[in-house]
Amino acid sequence: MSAIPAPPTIKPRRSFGEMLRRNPITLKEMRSRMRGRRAFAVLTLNVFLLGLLVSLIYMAYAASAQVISSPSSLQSLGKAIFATAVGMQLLITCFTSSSAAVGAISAERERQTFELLRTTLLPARSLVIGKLAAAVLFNLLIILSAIPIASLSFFFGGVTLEEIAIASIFLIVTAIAFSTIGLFFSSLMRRTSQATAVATVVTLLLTFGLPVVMLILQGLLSTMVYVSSQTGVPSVEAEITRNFILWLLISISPLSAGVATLATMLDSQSALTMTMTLSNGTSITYPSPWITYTLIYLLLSLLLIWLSVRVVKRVDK
Amino acid sequence: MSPIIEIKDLTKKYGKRTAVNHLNLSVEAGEIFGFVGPNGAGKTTTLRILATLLRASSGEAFVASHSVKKSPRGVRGAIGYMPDSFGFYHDMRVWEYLDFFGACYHLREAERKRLVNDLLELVDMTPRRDDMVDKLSRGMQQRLGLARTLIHDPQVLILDEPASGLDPRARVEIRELLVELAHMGKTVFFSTHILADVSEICTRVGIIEAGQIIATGTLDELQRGLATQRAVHIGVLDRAAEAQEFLAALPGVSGVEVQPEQNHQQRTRLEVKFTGDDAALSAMLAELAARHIPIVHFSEDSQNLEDIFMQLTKSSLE
Repeated sequence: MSAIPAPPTIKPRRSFGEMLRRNPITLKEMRSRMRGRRAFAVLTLNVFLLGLLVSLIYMAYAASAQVISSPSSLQSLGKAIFATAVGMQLLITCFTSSSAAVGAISAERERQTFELLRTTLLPARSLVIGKLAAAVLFNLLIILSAIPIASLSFFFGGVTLEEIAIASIFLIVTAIAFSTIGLFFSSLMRRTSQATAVATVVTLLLTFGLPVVMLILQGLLSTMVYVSSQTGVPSVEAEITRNFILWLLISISPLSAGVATLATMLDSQSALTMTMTLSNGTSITYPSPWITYTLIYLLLSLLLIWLSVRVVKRVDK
Repeated sequence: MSPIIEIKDLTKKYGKRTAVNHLNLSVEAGEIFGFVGPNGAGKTTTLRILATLLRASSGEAFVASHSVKKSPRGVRGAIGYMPDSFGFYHDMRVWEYLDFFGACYHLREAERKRLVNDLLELVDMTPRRDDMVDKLSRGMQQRLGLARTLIHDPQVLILDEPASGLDPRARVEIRELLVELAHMGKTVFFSTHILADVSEICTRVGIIEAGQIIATGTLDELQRGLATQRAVHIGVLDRAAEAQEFLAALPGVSGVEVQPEQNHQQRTRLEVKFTGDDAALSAMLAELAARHIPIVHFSEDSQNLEDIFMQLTKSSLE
């Protein structure tokens, strides 16, 4: 039997942008997403909420006339506006990213189009990456829409280029990671409603649950460190272990990592490191939470993309 | 010439239930092969295995010489698959839908533009090019689905119940389209339980029951294979008793029944049970004519696909 040659699998190397432009899934998803009123409504709501919050901050500062007249206070107003805008955008990104991707695969199953796609020559990898790219691009658009509001802080000064760069990286990583989380549950579950429920719970746990766990553990571990010492002076090893656990927990949640990074930078420490002081006065330096957060969430994203591709690729048994 | 679809000892089990049981089948290039069977017989399971969507428990299947197990990508390039029930992207226009699937087969933009126009013309949907797909009737959606299966110019079309749920006109249109596709050199392998579709367009038929093929062949072959004896109807104007006596004495005739003609009272109808071949049948007619028996009607009662299907599935159940 002479086999008719299979379609070629090796394609010429293309840039990432070219790959996205050529991915039919990304194009279709972006086209669908931008059709209708939903995208317009989401973008408007985002800008409105941020504008409202920043206006409240400004009005609170303006109420105290003597504060607003001092140049250093103007800078602190600038920092406050920037931190509020970025913080609010971070929380919005966590939830919009997860929800933008949560129907990516499960909706194809529900719509009975998944099998049609699986019998084309589109590799599972392209399907997953195309869906993810569309969700991330939409969230980047939401983030971009907030720039005019955040940039109000530049009128007052106090915001450094370094802070803008870190905030941008933080938001982009959050958009990628939480979109991947949504996508993973979408590939795993048959129904979008199930995937939405699980992805929302996971997003809530990572965003608000972990900081609560961290606060509880902080109290518990501090008590344990003191109780375990016979002399009343905690051992250096116990304190280092406690601080490491807390630092790791801080870095895992977007909320705590964001707040800790901001606090570290306001304390005028380095943007790259975070220093914790032990009770004997020794300082221990850790990478700044945003660095650990970026690494952990990018690795998690890669793992979830790989798992999603495997699930999509799976032939029913 | 090697078959374009070859199924060898294919078995699919879901737990303890066997959906497809050591199935063997081959389909030649250019055929319109009807895969017929009652609900739950294993038609869709077989089609899904051929479309690389389902893994067989054992056995092998080849499409265009590509193994569904070892070379699913090769199979996907060679087939156009249309499931029994499939969805649409409701926020897409007709041309966008075809263009999107063309892109999923890595076709270039310029090539896609040309193909979309050609396919819309083929399925007679050019005027509906800019309509939203969710505004189309079920028949139109089915035609669009068929156009989608053709976007990458596959050799084989695997269609699961392509005419189910369609009104009579839409069914006829789909049937005509399948014949046209076969003329274009495509092999059409489709499952159905609408026997009229099969008898009208199929070059060969496979009847599946409880996961096993119980008969394959052309309609004529199936009829001949099943007929233990032929039933010949002869209408005579008079001398019925003489004709009955003569026919009963012929070799191969096991009985002759006289039946009144309801619409023509002057005629008599004889039903002859006969096991001879076509030559013997022709000789029977010649002998009657030589005896100057006034024959007004002479025909063989041929079984239609429905009779064959009922007989086969009944004997399989027994």
